Amino acid sequence: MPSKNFIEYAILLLFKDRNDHFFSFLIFSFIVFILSSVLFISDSLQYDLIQSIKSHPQIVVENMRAGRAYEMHDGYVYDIMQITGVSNVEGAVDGYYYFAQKRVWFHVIGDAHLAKDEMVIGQGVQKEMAELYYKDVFHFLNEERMIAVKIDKIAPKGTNIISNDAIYLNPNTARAVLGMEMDEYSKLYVTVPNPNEVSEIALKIVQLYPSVKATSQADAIGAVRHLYYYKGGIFMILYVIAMVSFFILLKNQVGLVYGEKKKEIAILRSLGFCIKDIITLKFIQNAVVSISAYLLGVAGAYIYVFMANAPYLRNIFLGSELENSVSLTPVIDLNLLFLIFLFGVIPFLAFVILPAWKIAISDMSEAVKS
Amino acid sequence: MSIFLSNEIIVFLLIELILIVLMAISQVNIVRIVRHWDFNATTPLQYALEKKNYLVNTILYFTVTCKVILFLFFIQSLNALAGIVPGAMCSAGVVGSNHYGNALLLLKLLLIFGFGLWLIVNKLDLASITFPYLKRKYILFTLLFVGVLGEFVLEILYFSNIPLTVPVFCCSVVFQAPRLPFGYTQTLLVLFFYLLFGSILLLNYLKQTMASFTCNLLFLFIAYYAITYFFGLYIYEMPNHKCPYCMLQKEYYYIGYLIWGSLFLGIFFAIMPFLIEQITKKSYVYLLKYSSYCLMITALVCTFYVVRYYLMTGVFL
Amino acid sequence: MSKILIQNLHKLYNPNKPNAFYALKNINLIVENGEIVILKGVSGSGKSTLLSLIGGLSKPSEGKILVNEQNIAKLPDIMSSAFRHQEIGFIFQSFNLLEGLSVYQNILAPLALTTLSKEAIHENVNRAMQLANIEHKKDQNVGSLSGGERQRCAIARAVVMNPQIILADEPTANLDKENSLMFIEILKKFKLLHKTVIIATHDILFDDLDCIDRCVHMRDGELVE
Repeated sequence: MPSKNFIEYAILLLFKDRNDHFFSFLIFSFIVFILSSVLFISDSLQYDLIQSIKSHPQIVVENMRAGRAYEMHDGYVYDIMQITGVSNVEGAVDGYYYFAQKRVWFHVIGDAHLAKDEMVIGQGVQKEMAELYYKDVFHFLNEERMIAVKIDKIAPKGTNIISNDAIYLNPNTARAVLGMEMDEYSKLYVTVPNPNEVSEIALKIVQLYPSVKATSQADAIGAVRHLYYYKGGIFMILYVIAMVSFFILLKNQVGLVYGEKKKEIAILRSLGFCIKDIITLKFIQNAVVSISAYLLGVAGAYIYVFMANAPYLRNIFLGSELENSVSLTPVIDLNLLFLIFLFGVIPFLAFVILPAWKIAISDMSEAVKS
Repeated sequence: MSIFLSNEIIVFLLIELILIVLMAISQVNIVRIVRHWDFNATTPLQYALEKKNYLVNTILYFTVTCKVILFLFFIQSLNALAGIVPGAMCSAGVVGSNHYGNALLLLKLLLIFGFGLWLIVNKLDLASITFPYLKRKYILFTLLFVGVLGEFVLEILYFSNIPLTVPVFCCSVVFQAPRLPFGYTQTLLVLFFYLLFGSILLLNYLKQTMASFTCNLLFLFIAYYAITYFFGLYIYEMPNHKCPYCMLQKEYYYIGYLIWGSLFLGIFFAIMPFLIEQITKKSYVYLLKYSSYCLMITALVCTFYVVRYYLMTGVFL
Repeated sequence: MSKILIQNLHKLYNPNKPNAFYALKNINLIVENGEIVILKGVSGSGKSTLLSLIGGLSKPSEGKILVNEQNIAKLPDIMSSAFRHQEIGFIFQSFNLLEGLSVYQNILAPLALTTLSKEAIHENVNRAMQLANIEHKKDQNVGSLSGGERQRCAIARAVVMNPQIILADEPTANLDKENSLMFIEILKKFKLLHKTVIIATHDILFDDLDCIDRCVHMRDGELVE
């Protein structure tokens, strides 16, 4: 282990030559910044989605016919309630309404707390409606009639991404809008107090009604994770390619810079620094450069993602047709930071080994004479 | 959806690949060094070879540091993967999801031991003027390089065989009794654990390197089973939770790192003196006392949990 | 106490090539403890090469260099560097200071390899600066120093580790007469401190100095009587 005096002197020499290291510092910070931003956004969205899944009941039952969603009636509710271990079954109205004039889909969600003619809409919905002058009232059109509903409240900005393109209506109003019968449900939420029984009960539900899909929370969370792994993974592979090119460039750059520093290294060698000491010196300097660039990149990414809301970059992940005005929940995972550290700092130092060695072994006696 | 798209796996394999490239560069240089080395020569070639020696050294120091970090990262990644491998609730399910998992872990551990041995021999080699252990040191390096290549192949096989659609077993199935070898019962296992531990302390004190080496190799396996099948129960406070990995988690205050860490370090310090004596033909016993310290920590922590449980409940599991 | 014994020393450049030549041929030399020896000869006579070899900056093709009975020619790099660090102080013709650092920071360089406390380091640097008479410039950047001041900074750096052997290669070549005389004053201090000093020079100022013990002549890489 190098002594404190050695480390201090290495850093002194680093600051003397800070201009030489500026290029690598800047580029590396930028690389870490981009990578961290993407991972922060991805993690934050994942977190939000998973939190919203967790706030739902343990099993979500949906009916399918010919591969498409189909309603369920009260009989389903009754049958499922009979399964041992189920404490409650709640029917929900949930569907999509096509707003033809603007060619967008609104997510209609039934909310029993709302009165028959009350409506709460998300910010994205409000914007679309306002463009066609639906400011106080909105007309839903279906095959049979037109339903006029007052626009009551706007869902506040900063709620999770689910609410942005959503319209909350009283369940019966929602049924009318979606063309469903009064005793029909789009989804059933099944509450199972004992988490160990969830997968068993999901199986039993499917046994009862072979055409339904019973998704447990764990499945839903797993599905979200799969999606994000996929998206994240593709990005990472592209990133690796970009990074390897950077590091090759770095190696050449470093080699060039060191070439000019031959005399300085020879002076140190003449004072008693051995080859190992020179390599250690270069390593310490590059560790300081890479770690500080890493910290700058991560801090910059934090500010960019969680304070500035990541303009331009978030569109990679948020693919809704409606303009999204969600704010990202600050989620910092230590494992993630460590991952970024491993991904950046270790290859950086690895690529510095050869140039550092080359300069350390260069011939002293000629260099000190010049 | 492929496991190779997981962020952790990508980073992990990238670093492994970089280390392999560095080691390959070393290996090429080593072949040259070993072929032409003649310490008594005063030719430019000999001086150039001495300088190449330092490149190999640097690469190895760097590799060893990274390997240790990667080992810990690997364990953590397995736990992260448990989220997408169906049925796995912790690393045990992921490791046991195919027959490469346990072999891979053991190989990683042995390689780290091997690197540690190389570092010590290298230090001794550099400390003497004539590089007396150079050729032996580099034969060892070549063996380690082959091991690292094998490890990489095993990693690819392991990762590509992790099932993402078929549920795997979790630890309660993987570690259920009776899986103890030779039909040992728990009592016999614990007895053996403490007996071996006591013998090792005595042998370390008496500086008997060969006996300590043998006992420690045996202790590696006995301790693994003892911790998984006995002491672990008292850490988890459940009679059927037999798992070596769960104790690495936050819920158990990461105590697993202390237990496994001190165990592996203790065994490392105990087996090194014998191996170094074989390579250098010189005595090197001062590491034995560190072995005793580390193994004492392991035994103390494990015993603490048993005693604590007994004091809290008045019974044993 | 360091006695330097050079036996049968050869230095061949570009061996096995058509432009191979001997920079040093069959050098045999003894330098006793505390001696101040001048190596005299024209450019290209091998003086600097000999100094490089004694200081371990390069390796000989043949022969031994024994310092305190240890052959430093065959020492591995770690040991030869340690030897150079503790036992040798170099003074170069072109001073070889680290540009961009102050006088103090330049003198500090050899001490970076030690584990001395801050106070001990400060003391050592101050002592070296006093000997070389450069204390008053300690915080100044070396880039703004005059030739004589740079030389004195280099001298301070060479003695900060209190080495037994000082090797000076053309120390007055880039100095005016006044500064050259200042160097000679410092040389006298080395004599009082019983340091072994070898100076490669063709400056006539060193002729007939009382503090010089011996003068050795070189020509075409060989010693001449």
